[in-house]
Amino acid sequence: MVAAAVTTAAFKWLDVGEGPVLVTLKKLFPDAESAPSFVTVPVSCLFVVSVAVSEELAYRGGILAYILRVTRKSRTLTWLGIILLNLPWALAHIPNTDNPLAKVTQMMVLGIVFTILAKNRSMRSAIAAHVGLNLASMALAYGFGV
Amino acid sequence: MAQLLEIVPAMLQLALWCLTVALYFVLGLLNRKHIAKRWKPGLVLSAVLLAMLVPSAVFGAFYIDLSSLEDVAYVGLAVGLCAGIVIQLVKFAWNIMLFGVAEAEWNRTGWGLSLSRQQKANPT
Repeated sequence: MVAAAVTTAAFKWLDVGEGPVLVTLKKLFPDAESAPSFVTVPVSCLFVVSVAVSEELAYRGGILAYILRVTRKSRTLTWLGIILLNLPWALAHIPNTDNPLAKVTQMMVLGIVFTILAKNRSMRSAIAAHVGLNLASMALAYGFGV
Repeated sequence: MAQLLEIVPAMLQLALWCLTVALYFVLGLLNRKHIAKRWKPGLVLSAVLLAMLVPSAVFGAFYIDLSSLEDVAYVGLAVGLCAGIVIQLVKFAWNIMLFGVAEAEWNRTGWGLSLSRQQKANPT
């Protein structure tokens, strides 16, 4: 919730706009925004939750455990592996905004936080945190239009 | 050209997705015995995730504006969306492997740093 609020405020301050994928999707689905909220809110909730679970399994799942196993003897190598693991995840989110640097920075920080949660707690903690972040961001978008 | 450039970010996403699939395929081969034994939880999880995506597909099909497909970039995106539907079906199978790989690797690692705690608690 805090992460969603902080990043939303930072993006507002940096005047970060929507990326090419969101702009194109809006052109392909021009009437979607006028759809009743009792339809869009549950559909969006289901979508962001399923995406969060899939992404956490993919990025903080088996690959992270493999990195932890093979780099067990060197803390430096473990952190290098964690950074390399989160890089494709951050790069994959570039098309969501029109400011690639801000987006990559945001996703790298969030990715490392989720990784620490998965590493020190459990995969379920990372999944819960990711689902919480996505739902909070969605609530800010629907509730306050940000 | 500018219109074609618009679909480059979507292509980047697709390429990165293919990279993670390739990584999981290799890890899946290394853990194939575990996945063969424990595929049912992955199947349940995949079914749940797929069912959660169905309302989005229905919503999308209802609200799509086909007139915008006259534009080259939108044709590219529409092809991408169709590929996305196929990918989601592939993902149904992939999630089974993904869950199996994650579970097998975390078991081997002793769930990350908690291994040292486990060893302290059970030195044998």
